[in-house]
Amino acid sequence: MSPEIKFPTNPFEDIKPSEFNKLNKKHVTEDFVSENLKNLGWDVYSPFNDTGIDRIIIKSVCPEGHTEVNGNLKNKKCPICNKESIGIKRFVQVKTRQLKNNIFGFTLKSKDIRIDPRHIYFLYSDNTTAEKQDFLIISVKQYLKFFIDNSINPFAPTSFRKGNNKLNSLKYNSSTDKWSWGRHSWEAYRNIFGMEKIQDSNVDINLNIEIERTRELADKLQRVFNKGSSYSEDTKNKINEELTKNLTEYKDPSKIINLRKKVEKYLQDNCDQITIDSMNKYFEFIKTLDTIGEEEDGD
Amino acid sequence: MEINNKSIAYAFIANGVQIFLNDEDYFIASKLVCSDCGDSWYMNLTECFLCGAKNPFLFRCSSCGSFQSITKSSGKCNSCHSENLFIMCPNENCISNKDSNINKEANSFGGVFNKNSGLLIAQQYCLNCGSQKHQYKSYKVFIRSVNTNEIILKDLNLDLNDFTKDSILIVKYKTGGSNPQYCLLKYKDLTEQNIKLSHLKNLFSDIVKELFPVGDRKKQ
Repeated sequence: MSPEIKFPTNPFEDIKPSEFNKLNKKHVTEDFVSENLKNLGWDVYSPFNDTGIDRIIIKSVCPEGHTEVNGNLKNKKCPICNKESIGIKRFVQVKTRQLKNNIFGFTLKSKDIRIDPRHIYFLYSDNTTAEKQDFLIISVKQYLKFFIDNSINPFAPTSFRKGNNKLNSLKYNSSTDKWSWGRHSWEAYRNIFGMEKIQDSNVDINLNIEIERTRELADKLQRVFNKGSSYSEDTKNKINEELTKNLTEYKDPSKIINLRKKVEKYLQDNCDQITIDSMNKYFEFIKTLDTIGEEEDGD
Repeated sequence: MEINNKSIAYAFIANGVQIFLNDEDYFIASKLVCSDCGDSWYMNLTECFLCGAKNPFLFRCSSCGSFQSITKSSGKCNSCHSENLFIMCPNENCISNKDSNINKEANSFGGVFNKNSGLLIAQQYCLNCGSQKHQYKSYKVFIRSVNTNEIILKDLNLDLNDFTKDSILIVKYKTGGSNPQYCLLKYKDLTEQNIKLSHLKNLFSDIVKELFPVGDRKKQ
């Protein structure tokens, strides 16, 4: 633990983060995050054009975890165990919000749930108080595990897949100066403590296993259907049965590939060439969106 | 950003790779790919939450069953002129088509692939091999331009302290008014001072294919 390190700090001494408004703060908030990450020894990379990833951060650390949270062993061996350092990389998605009634409200869509455990959600509260800012920093794996451990599932409602499931459970208690999700503490992810967690090089060393574990967590949460007010109880039950069945069946990847081939053939047999061309053109458009960082409009 | 680096950055973007910059003379090229076969993974692509079929981006008429483009639609079926157009799952055996109640409920929101239905989800299965796993694949990219195919490493002014194991050097070879050719050099290739450029590629897309290859599914 390194509680003596002040993180975050305002790197821009002429202006407070709380003095910006919603319209003019986008650039400064991302810069605020970057400068604070640099202060902890990370090399920070910004997107050439907007993408779903707001920053890639890289540093070299001891594989045994001996590197301080503000250290970087670039081209050096660990001074404690003499082991070669390893490069670690994190893919950071930043969400900046002003607290409303002490709530940090944000939305994560199904496209934001990546199963690479190096994907990090960086939640930036830019006005915890006028003088104080907070980061809540959590990897996708830790995020999913938090919900499993606490029997919460924000991924089951239809609103999650619609992309409008605003999460309003992350709260700041000004009298205790603590962050929590509902009644569960989030202090472990706050500021320097969150940064210590994401610096764990085991994620990089055991990447393949960590990806599998993250997939398992994601499936447990995402492959559940809550009907809400939109669907009937009967539909909910049938859909949940179907999801369980398919999850088991598609453990054999050839099953989903064969299904998709069958569907493709069905469409080829039942569509004229203009419709097929239109479908393919739209597919190419969607593929491009991932590189240029925009979202599909309409349906 | 130096113009040569910028030009290569755009060439990466055109080939579906994302670029990230810092203040140095190199950048990061990154792509989300299938962990098993390396095929591109698209988080903007949606699939049916119920059966995994890929979004066809087509309307289907529930009266006559014909499909039509969603971009050129007049709101009426091209075949029977009904207004019962829904973005349905194209899999005949999907529960959303086989079960009339589910079909009715999904269509009340415009069909499975209308985002209001909540019955679609970002890509979960690889389009090429069916794997459920994806990951970021990225390189630190250094660019150098030369007009001779025999180069001396120190003349390239590479800071080898920055050239880590995940780094690549793309040498752009161009003489006179000719089109550029590209040579990809990896960490292990930079052991000698004198380097003869070989396996030159005429197309930048071939460099991208070498960096982000798509292969058969890994043996489990």
